[in-house]
Amino acid sequence: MTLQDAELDALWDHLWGLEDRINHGEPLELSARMRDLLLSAAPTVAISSADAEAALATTESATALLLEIRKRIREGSNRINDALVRMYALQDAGDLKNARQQMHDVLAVEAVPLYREIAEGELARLNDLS
Amino acid sequence: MSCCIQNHPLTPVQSCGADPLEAAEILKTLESLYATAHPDAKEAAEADVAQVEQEEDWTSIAKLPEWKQRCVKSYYACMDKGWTGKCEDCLRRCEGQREWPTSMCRPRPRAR
Repeated sequence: MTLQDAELDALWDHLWGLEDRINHGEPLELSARMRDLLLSAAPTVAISSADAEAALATTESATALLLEIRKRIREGSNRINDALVRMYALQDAGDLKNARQQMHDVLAVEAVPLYREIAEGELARLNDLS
Repeated sequence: MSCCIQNHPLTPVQSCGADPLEAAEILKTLESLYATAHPDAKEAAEADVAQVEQEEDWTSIAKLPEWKQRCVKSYYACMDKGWTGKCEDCLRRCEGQREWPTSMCRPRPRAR
């Protein structure tokens, strides 16, 4: 199942709030709703449903899963946005080769599908320019 | 007030006591600053990358925390490149969450 943009955004925004509460010392409540939420969220950051399901066995492993999901969202967001800023500067300078390289560098390490889609889209756009 | 806002461009309400209307004015100022700065970047198209990075002139935000710099740079990109979502809303969320909401504001997919 592919989430629509608004659904993905609402889901990721919710996860930020959950992580924030954990960081403030609140334990994760492993309710049925929370399980569904984590199972929905895992594939959005390239964690398999099987791995997510296994992590729901205990509060500790479920908390670790949530933190890993959030880490992938946060680090990937920083990575793609930094790369985009560099890419635009290079593109403006007429250096399409190194502009493309910024997106290749993202693709070399990125697992999160949304961020990979962005990098692939920008690569295709840059290829259209040359 | 203006010095305070210059030093806290992303948190004018909390840091400077600006009301929300003033905060909206700050966002307009950010856009105006960018519009002023951007032609320089375009003119530098022939220069090397390092030169362009200087011409982009992020020096005014260089002392901000890394996450705030990222919020501002992504906001500029969002405005200039016509990203999806409402750039002002994404900037505000970036202020609160200390990360750019890429699920909300990002480059538009290519038209097919």
